Amino acid sequence: MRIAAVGDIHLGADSDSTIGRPWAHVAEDADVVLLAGDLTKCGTPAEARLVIEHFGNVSIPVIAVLGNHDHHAERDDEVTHLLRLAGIQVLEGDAVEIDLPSGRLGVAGVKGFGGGFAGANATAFGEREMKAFVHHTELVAERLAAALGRLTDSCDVRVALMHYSPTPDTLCGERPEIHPFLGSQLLAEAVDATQVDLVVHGHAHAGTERGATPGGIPVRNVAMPVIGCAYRVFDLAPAAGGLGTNGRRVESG
Amino acid sequence: MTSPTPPVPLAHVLLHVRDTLATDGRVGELGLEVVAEGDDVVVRGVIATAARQAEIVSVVAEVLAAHGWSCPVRDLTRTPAVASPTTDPEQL
Ligand SMILES: [Fe+2]
Ligand SMILES: [Fe+2]
Repeated sequence: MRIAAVGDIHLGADSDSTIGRPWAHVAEDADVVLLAGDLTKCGTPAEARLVIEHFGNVSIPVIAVLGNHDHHAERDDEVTHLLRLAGIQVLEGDAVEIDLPSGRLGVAGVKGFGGGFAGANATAFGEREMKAFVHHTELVAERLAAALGRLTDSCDVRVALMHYSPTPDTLCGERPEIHPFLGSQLLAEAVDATQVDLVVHGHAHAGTERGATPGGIPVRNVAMPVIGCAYRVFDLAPAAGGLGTNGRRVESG
Repeated sequence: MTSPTPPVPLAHVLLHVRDTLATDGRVGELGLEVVAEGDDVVVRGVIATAARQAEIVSVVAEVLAAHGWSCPVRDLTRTPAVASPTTDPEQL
């Protein structure tokens, strides 16, 4: 199962007109496209229409989460609505299953949020503003866990799609001072509590491409500045009997 | 006799420069690094388009001037490649 993924394309009125050429041919390389957030510069409906120009006519399924840039104009509901009208599936605490030529893919998606990682994570203690920050991370992680839990046993491959990182591995290259704004380990905790074959995220423009959750699930940072091309392709071979490629899936019944 | 207002320390101004690079629609990039190096203000990181990159020096200079500073600005940002992938799919 070939999965193309990219994040942080930050489309705006000033985007290079040639930027979309490789995406127009992505169906030659992959069975599905995952967009890991920061699709727009500031999250305006006009910028969402640029995303649709590039991905609305792609002949394979396109599944997306929004990023922080897509929230900046505080019109994320409109952005989501427009993308969905164009056939792009936008996930926020949702899960989707699609049948591809090579098997059934389940994707659980959430924007994610900051909060940091073991040893240097934010704690809901003290001022209510600090508690609100941490509680939002907790809420988002709970949404991810719930979405993952809704994926059925019929999925051959399961992917967790998010904008923020679940691990400091893929933040390597970013200044450590800003790690708490780039991801949260609570996202990894949600992933490791279920059976997932791959985690895809963006947001960390100066980060590293490859990492893993503490439970050993592969994590890939597909922010375009990191991958240095229009998209990355992952080939996950569904194992016989519906087992996930990481061999951790528990068969029901 | 009144003494002139002392300038805001540059370290404080750099906070506002970084904020403005994120929130000013001409640039709109949150993740840029802004530091003082010698007499210069240096901006590093990745910015999505050449048009946004071209605005960095003037936006930084405006914020510096608004706080009483005038110093050379060096833009060391880069724009990401957008070519088709050249590597084979990663097998997982
Ligand atoms: Fe981004
Ligand atoms: Fe982001």
